[in-house]
Amino acid sequence: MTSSLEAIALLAVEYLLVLGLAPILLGIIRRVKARSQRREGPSLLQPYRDLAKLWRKESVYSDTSSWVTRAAPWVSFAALLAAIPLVPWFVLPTPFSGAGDLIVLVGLLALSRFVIALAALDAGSTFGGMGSSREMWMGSLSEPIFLLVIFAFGAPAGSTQAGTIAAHGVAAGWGYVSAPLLLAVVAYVGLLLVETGRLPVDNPSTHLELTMVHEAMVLEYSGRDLALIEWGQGVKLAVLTGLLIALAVPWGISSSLGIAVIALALALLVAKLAGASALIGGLESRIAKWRLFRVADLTTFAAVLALGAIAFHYLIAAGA
Amino acid sequence: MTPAPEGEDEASEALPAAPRPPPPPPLTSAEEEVVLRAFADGTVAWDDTEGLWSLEVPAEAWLGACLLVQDRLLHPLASLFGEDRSSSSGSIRLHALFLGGRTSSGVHVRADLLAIGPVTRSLWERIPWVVPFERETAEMFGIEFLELPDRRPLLLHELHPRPPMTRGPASAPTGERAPYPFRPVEGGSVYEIPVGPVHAGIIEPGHFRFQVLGERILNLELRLGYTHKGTERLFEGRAPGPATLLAESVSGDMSVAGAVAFSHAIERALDIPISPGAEASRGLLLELERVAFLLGDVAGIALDTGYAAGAAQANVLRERAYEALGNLTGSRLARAVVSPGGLRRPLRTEALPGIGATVARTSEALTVLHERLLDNSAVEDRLLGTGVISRAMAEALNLVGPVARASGVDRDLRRDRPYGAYRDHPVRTTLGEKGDVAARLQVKVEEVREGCRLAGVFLEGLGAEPTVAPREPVPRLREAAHGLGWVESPRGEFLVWVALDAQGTLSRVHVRDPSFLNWPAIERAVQGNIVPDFPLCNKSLNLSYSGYDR
Repeated sequence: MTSSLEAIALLAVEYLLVLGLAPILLGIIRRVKARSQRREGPSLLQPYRDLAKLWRKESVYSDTSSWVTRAAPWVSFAALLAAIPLVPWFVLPTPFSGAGDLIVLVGLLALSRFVIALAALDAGSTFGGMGSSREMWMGSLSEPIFLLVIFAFGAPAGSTQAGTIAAHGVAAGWGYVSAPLLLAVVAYVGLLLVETGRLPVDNPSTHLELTMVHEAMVLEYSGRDLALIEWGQGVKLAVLTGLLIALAVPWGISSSLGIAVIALALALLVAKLAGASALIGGLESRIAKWRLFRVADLTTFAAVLALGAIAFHYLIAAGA
Repeated sequence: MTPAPEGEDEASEALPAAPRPPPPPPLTSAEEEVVLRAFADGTVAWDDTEGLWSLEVPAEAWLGACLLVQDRLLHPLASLFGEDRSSSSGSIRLHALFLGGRTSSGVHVRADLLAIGPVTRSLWERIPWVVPFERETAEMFGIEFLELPDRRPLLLHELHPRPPMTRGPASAPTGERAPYPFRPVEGGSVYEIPVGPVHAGIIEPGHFRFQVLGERILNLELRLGYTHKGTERLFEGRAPGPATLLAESVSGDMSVAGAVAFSHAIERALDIPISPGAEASRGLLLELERVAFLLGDVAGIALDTGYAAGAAQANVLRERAYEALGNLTGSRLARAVVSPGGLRRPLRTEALPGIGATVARTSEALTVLHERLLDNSAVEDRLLGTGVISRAMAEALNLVGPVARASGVDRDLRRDRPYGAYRDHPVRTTLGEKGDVAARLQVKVEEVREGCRLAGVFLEGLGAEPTVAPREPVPRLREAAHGLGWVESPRGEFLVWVALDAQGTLSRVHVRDPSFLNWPAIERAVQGNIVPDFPLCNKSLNLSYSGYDR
């Protein structure tokens, strides 16, 4: 077990890592998409420059908005920050592993979504209401199914603690790979696209205000508030991708505190995150945006796979 | 579930369903003359400068004459406009052009109204698509159309001290806004989305007012006029040569079509002969413009489904077509190239071999691109059944161009009233069936392919003859003249009517951009669709704001 001082140090490294890497993950996705369109694309560091620029600008508020608009970006960002320690990033057992399990993580993501949707309604602008309505509809589909997917991942380890599941995976080695795991991974990827607002669910690069989901909700935001929201999008992407990595390919997460082992685990993590972002970018280049109501097909598909994974696991367990 | 509010039923009933008995065979020219001469109130003559029958009627016979042409001769109303003749004959003249059916004939109806308090009956009960024409004529010339249900201004957003197209010193608008009530839609849960006039993308300004129930669009109403520049007035008093530049900027992305239509009108009015070489050059420019323009539409449709990689491929092809125009003329949009009498400057012959190669490559790459778009199930799912314009609707709104053809309406001026190089090289038209976004994409892809073929044909037709217009294209006139030019532009039928005075300067020019007829289609196409599919409907129609507003 780690001492509390070590735990704080490890936690600090985690925060630095996730907050620092979040923008470049968006940069990687954009670069991959640009290449698929025969464009050079902006520098990988462009999201950092954008955030720095927005951070220095003042926030402008609508006359018709209340404190909800001002508070929402901070609450949403704080909820995402609170989710970071729930994911095993590079060391096991995770520091502050008692802070909560994945059900808490789903709740924190829901909170972040809820306050932004509330803020979008606050100013009373048309697009905000439209975006909120779409976002909450999608949330109502994806959140319960997300829980199901977590149960599918957690069944072999008998836990909903991400750290316990990852430790189970690391210990089991290649034996961790099973048909239920593959089903759960596919289901998770579908939900990841819904939760992070990527194609085919939402198109983050569109200028068509009538088709927007997440972007429509934050149209009213500017300056530092917008920077927080955009950064939060990156953090959310990092958290969900990091969780997938920890649950699906946990190998490489260090179980001890040696400097060399930790460094290797960190390098592996960065490589895995970059690879996952590139995969998302590649996927986005190949698909078009679906008709809005087909999102329900995607979540249904995820639900069926997750149920299949759970059933499969217990059948195998019963047979063995 | 909230019951659908009444507004929706009203909206769908407001348009009379087009009766569709099997169309009788078109009348021959002799039969048309008999019908027109039997109409006792008017003077009838064949007008060669317009390629139309001329029917001049007294003011009280206006309605009867127009309905006779529509019902007996079956020519659809193509345009309706005014002309202030208070200086010469003391009247406001009302013009109606009927053409664009499957026959090469047509009728031009004229009636003189009193210059003070001009008034006439509205045609809207029998010709539903006349409403925007009458609204514009009413606000520009002060003509009152009795029984016209929609008296709101069309293009002018501010009040004017007097109708701006009437004679007299130029007068600035008062600065006071004209009231403009939108159609109300009521009912529980009905939600209104105002969009524009400033949009998030780099497009022209226009206001869209949606009333939606959840995501379903119950009603859409447009308000345009934000780019009204008084172009028709700017023509007046100018010499035809320089005025060509105005004609090509009516819809700036169809500059060749505008310039050729205007030049044809001048050439017919003044009887200026055109060399076959110049006609082939114009044909080449027209088809290259069509190819570039429609590839832009293909790219836009792909992009609006979120399929950016497919859009990028279409944009590469589009860019090559614009490069070809640039190499050929020195201007990527082929500006200031066409002029009455031929061309203002010769095509660069050294660029010609490259054009042939570009056209051939585009045609090949297009097949691959179209397959790739349709292979993508998400793209296909977005396009099929979206933004349907039925054939009956297309006929009831008198739609033109690729939009009409995608709904199965077989009309194309290049074939129906052949002009220039198209007289010797007939075009093959492609018709769609369902009238949805997928059908429009299909028709546009086929028209790019046909455009590539025709461009290749015209390229071969370019001889060594001089194609440059003579320095002084306007012969001295002894009396006033008029003429009509028509071109099948990338968006559809583009008409220009010109009147010249005895000095050879323009006294009245009317430009009927195809988008003037096609804009109302979007209000119908989106009904029952979901809001996020609107941009796709919009892009597949690709309407010109500037061409509508002028």
